Amino acid sequence: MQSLAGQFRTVQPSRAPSAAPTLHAAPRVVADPAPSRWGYKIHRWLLSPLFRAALRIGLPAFVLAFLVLSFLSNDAALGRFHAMITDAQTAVAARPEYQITGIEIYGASPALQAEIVETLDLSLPLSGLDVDLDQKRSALLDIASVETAHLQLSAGGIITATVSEKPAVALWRGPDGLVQIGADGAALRPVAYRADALDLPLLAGEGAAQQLDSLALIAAETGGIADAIRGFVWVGDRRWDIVLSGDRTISLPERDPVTALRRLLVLDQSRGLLDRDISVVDFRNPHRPTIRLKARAVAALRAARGHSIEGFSQ
Amino acid sequence: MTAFCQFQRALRTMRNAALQRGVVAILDIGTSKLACLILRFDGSQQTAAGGDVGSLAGHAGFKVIGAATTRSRGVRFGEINSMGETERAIRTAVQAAQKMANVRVDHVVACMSGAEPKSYGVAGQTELMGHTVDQTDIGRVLASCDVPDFGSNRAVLHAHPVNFALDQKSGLTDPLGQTGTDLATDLHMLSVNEDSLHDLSYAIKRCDMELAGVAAAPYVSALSTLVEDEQELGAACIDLGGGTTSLSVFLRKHMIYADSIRMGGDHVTGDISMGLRVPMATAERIKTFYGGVVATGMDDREMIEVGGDSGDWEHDRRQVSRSELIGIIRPRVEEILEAVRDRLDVSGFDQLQGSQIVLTGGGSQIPGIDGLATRILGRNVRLGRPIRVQGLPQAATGPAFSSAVGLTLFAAHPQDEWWDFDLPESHLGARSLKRALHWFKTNW
Repeated sequence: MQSLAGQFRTVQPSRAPSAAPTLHAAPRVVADPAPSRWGYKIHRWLLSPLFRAALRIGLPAFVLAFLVLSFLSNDAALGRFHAMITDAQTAVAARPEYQITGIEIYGASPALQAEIVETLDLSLPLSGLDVDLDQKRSALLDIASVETAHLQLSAGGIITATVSEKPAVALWRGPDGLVQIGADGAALRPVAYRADALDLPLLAGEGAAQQLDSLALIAAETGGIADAIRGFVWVGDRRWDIVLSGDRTISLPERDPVTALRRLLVLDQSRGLLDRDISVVDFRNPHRPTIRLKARAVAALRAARGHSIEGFSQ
Repeated sequence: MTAFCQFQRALRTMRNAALQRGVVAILDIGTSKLACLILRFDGSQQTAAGGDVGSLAGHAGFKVIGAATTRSRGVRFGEINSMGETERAIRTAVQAAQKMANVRVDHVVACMSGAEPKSYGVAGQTELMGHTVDQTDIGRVLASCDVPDFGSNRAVLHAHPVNFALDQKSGLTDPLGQTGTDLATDLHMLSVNEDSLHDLSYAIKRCDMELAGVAAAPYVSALSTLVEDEQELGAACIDLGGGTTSLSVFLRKHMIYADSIRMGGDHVTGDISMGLRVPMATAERIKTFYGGVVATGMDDREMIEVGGDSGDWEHDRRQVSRSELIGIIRPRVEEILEAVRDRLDVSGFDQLQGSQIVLTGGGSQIPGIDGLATRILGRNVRLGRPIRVQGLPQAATGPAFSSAVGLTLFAAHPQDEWWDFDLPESHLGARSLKRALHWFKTNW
């Protein structure tokens, strides 16, 4: 109540007569203190909460929206704006902090290293912001002999590729020489000499790489003759031949080669089949295994039977 | 009777809307001064439970948050004389008060000081439907009141049920729940010129506001100046305004008579202006500074500079003694008070138990008027200042603001009036039945 006392408004339309009249008082204009009708209305609008909110929030929002939309509707200005953004991006990407100057590769053989470098296809120096590491990594994984790959941009502008190669399970001798073969039958990398990969079994024949499963069954049964084995030949895309040292060959049947091999091993143990001078043990017909002797043995057999060596043709 | 009822009901609806908004403006459009108060209701205007009035006599529910006053323009004898001038004066006061309160007001409660009020005592009687009096019985007894012929172009401003009588028991304020067979009531109705009421409503509408209540100035002045026992035992409140002198008589907390005399402080100023040949503004200033009604020997020696700016030295240096001034003022004040006495005699005021007379309004500030009034009106005269309401500026606590302050009380707690009760259906239905019959006649 006390605080309001000072604010109480008395609006006087006319001048009050002065207590001490002056001689030559200028005639003062009697002003009407009433607000104009529009002044009164606007004052009331400004006091209404909704209007104030509209003025405080709506008007700036409208102006902002108008400016943004008018900018977006101007193609030239928009083009300049895009160019500005592109320039800024280029300027940042070109900074030395982002430059890639070298490639480091870990876990790859020299031949694979060359292939990785070729696959990454980086024309150094290059900005790190322009390299899509995920895409490059999937490209590395597309290389047949790569099992896992990690790509990393490390400090000093080095891109580091850490890869692991797929292990070779066999050698395949093809028209172009020796090739290592992975577990899935894919050709991994060429090998110059058999001696470079003595621990791997040697395969030959068209389509042999795809028959690693059946080969594994056969190889597991080779017990007694394992040391003599020189390689396996996939014949006619249907059955296996086992090539032994001393130019001996075991022809296994299409069906159930393991049983045939066991029979052979039993024969070998009981009768010393493979110690004899034979060139081919033919199990293609399991009911009627056939042996082909070497020429010298044939001659010796014939001699033993009293036949002349002449007149016998192999 | 339903026509004015609808108007007053519409005002009540508007008042409810204003209370919901929480802000209402009080507009006292007087002949010399226009006061605007802005009230904020804080929602606790209900009186405390158990019939207790609560703190500050139950008037703690609102607070005055804005106040402004301006010289009134375009009003004569408490009636709007020039619509444009009055509208501008209202705009001035309302804008200043809004600026102070920093809220926008859309609802106005105003008072009428002129408009030739006329009091009517009306009686009604009905038989009870049941054994005890309930709300419908009160509605029926009010509907049974025989409404006098007000004459054309009159509107009812107030219709207070002053008294209820149940069989032989009279003097009941609230007969609800009592047992009896016959219920009678006395109604005090106050009618005013309808045109003046419409002028007031229109002037407020032109200021983009809505009328939410209208009351007679003597009624609201008495609300704010008469203390409770005066209202109970019988008292007259005389509001000496600028253009009108209005009076109301209260008994048992209800107004039983109200009237208005078309004479006031402005006429005193006019007399001084004519007698001393000075402008009205100078006369007003001389009246407020040196005015009085009882001359003493000292006043012969006290000379007043009348002043003037005509350029004639002799004319501008005139002096009058205070006795001369009092000699001009006193006859007019006596005339006013004698007119008041005549009206009080008409009302039968001298038969009331307590014949307290309370002088208020700007004219009651004339020194010595209480002594003069005692001689003319009777012994029990006192000067009244309005009750204190919360937040009212110190400058607005004088007797000139008694009707404005009374309007705040009226806006916060209006007394029950005729239109606050539900009328019985038979009373409302007569016309619609007639209309239905008319429809059948014209369409079949």
